[in-house]
Amino acid sequence: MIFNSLAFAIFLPIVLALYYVLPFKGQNRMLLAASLFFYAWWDWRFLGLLALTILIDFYASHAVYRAQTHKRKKQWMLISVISNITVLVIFKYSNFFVQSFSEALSKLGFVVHTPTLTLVLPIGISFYTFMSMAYVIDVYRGELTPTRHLFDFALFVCYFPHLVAGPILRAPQLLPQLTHERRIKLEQIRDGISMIIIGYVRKVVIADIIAPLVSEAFSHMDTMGSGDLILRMYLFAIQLYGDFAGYSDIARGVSKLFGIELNLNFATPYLSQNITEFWRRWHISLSSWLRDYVYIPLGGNRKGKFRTYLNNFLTMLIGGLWHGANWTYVVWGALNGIYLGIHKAYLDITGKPQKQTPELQKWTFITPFKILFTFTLAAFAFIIFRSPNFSSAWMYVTKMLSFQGGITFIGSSVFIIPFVILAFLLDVSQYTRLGEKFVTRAPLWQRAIIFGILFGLVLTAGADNSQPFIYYQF
Amino acid sequence: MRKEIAISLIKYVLLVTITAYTLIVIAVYLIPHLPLSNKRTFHIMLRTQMTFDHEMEVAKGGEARSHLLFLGSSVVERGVSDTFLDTLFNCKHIPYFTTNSAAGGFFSKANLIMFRNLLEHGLKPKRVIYGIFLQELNSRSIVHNNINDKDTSEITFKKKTLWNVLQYGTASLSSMLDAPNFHIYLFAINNAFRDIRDPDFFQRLSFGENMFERDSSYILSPEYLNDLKDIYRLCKERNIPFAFFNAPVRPKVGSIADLPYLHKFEAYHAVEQFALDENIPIWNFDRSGLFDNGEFLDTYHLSSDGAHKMTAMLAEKIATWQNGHIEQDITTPLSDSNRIEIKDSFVRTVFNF
Repeated sequence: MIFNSLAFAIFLPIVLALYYVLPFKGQNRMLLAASLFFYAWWDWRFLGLLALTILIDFYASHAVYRAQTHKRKKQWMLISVISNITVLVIFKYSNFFVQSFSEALSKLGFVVHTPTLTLVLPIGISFYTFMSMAYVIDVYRGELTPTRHLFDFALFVCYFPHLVAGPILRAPQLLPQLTHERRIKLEQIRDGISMIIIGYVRKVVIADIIAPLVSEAFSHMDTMGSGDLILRMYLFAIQLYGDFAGYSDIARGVSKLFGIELNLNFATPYLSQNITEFWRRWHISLSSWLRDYVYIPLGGNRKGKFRTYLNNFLTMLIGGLWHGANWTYVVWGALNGIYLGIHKAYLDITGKPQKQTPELQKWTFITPFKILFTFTLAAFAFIIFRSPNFSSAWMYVTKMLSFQGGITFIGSSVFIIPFVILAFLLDVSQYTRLGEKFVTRAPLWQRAIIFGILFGLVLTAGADNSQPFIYYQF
Repeated sequence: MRKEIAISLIKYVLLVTITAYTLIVIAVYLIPHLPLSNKRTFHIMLRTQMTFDHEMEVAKGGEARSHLLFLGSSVVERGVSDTFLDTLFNCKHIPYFTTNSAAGGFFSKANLIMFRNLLEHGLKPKRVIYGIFLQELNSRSIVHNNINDKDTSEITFKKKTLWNVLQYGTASLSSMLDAPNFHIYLFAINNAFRDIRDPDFFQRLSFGENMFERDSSYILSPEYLNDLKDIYRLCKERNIPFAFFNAPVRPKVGSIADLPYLHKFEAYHAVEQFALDENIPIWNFDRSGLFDNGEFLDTYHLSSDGAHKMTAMLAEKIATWQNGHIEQDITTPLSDSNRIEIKDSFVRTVFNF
């Protein structure tokens, strides 16, 4: 089931109605049943895989917790990590690795006929395996006491708002909210609905309307001028952001209606002033997951400068591969690793500290240029992310940088301007917290008008257009 | 507390939804000629709605004039000026008002759907004229706004009652949030490239550039021919006089990309044969010497001046037809002379002289 579908529009009110009439224990069981139903709506056969992940990690977490020796704890933790990675490898990466291996051999002159598996990629597999695996690692690190109830753990992994496209939640944040009786506040309802509408605006009104222009650029780049391709490079960055941040907003908003708070996943990343800040604001749950479970175990910045650069690079490489079984994602990750390395080197050379709270930075006349530069770097890297293969990405980049031909498709380029402005306004209102102030302080009638207009736009844009979320495929 | 939460949730959702739908209803009624359709049928329904709106506008003026309806594709849309034709009728004391319902990308199937809906919803044209484009019956055409439906009976015009607006308003407005449909809309309601002689920068932004696509392959479609015959059948059943005309094509072929130009005789011949069989008037404006290159925007489309010239010629033909004369300019049986002309065109195309 996807958030922008009629099925979900029917599903959510029913689940909410049941939730509000049931006692606490019943609420959790109903939420678990609803989450499984939500997942099964796509393909019920993959419930088995989900259940297997849950069972292995639930028992592994208890085994880790009960084990008397460190070695034993580590063994159980590794069992969990290996089982999760095996599931990921089989369902997501097996064909990619086999084909890459086969291609490498053929380039060396060996012709190998390798078998490939015909497997459907289970939706949300990268999200729930990472959550489940991190849970066991947290128990291993002594940062978490495992829950005694399988149902609670299952709900933690399967909770439908985050199940298929994140955010990737940590047990210390979510589990206590699931195991303790919740008291929903009126503010949560108000904020939740506002967040849901904003999320749909980002997805349906901005990302989905921009999507055809981007697809056109990547499929007919030979007919386009450099101006078109530059413009559409930025448009894809806006589309991807609208698509993914929109999903996260809807997930957080829906969860608020159940009185459960999910973490912020996107903090106006395109208003970042440098690439390091960008990665602190973009897909925060994945970035922090990679920091805690990849970068720090690799040694982080504790093993000298070279290792810090290398660890940073490797983490971004893994982050790229997490997105999909394609070398383009790996290269995208690597390019971002290089960006981060250059920025870190710049900070090291100039002795400038990287500010931890970027939103408190003062704006100067140069700030917009820094923001534009960072946005351009991110958008440029997304060309590789969007391209089906390297030759397509190369063709796009070379044609774009040939600076031949301006904007030939002027009409559609002008048409898209209001939607880009809307995306910008939403981010500015989030960045300056004006949106938050409006939602909390404005009288009901004013909110009804503003959110009524936005909801009207969503209904209109989504009436004859339904595109799946990009991050569902990851 | 839970009850209070649930009531608060319902109240807020209702308030936002009511506001949203109120705005949607207002927008549907305020946007001129906006049809109740979806993105796929928008192109056809927009012209249907515009035809009804035009008739209503004339009726409001209290004038007792009969409706003359033009059907066809972009060559008719840009080649027949309805306002100019009305002026000519006025001078000749012919009691007609004209609606040019032809549209770029239309072909016989699209016209059939529109015409069927117009008749079913009460339009009573006094006469119908169909302009034939040389790609009219090309099943391989990429310039046709194909709707890919075998059964088109489901595509129906919906009147703008409040209930219909509530039901279909969002889908209808969604076309305004779709770049190609939005440009089709702007193009149609402004009669772009016909009434506007030299589009300025902002008009070009609104209407798009005159970058027509050329067809490179051609197969005559019996299905499209049947659709054309169905349009005639609908007229015959209602005793509505019907006529054809062949729209002109730029006399000199400019490039190899204009090769489908050579196929025109196949389509013309099929239509002419049908006109002969049914004794339907057919006026041929695709004759050498009638129009020169300067009167065209491109290979197929007349400029504003060219459109006025053809409109004046049409006024003469209609006046004769109204007096009961059936003119049939049959000039293109696939005779040897035509074959020579095709060969000659090909040679001129290849060697570009």
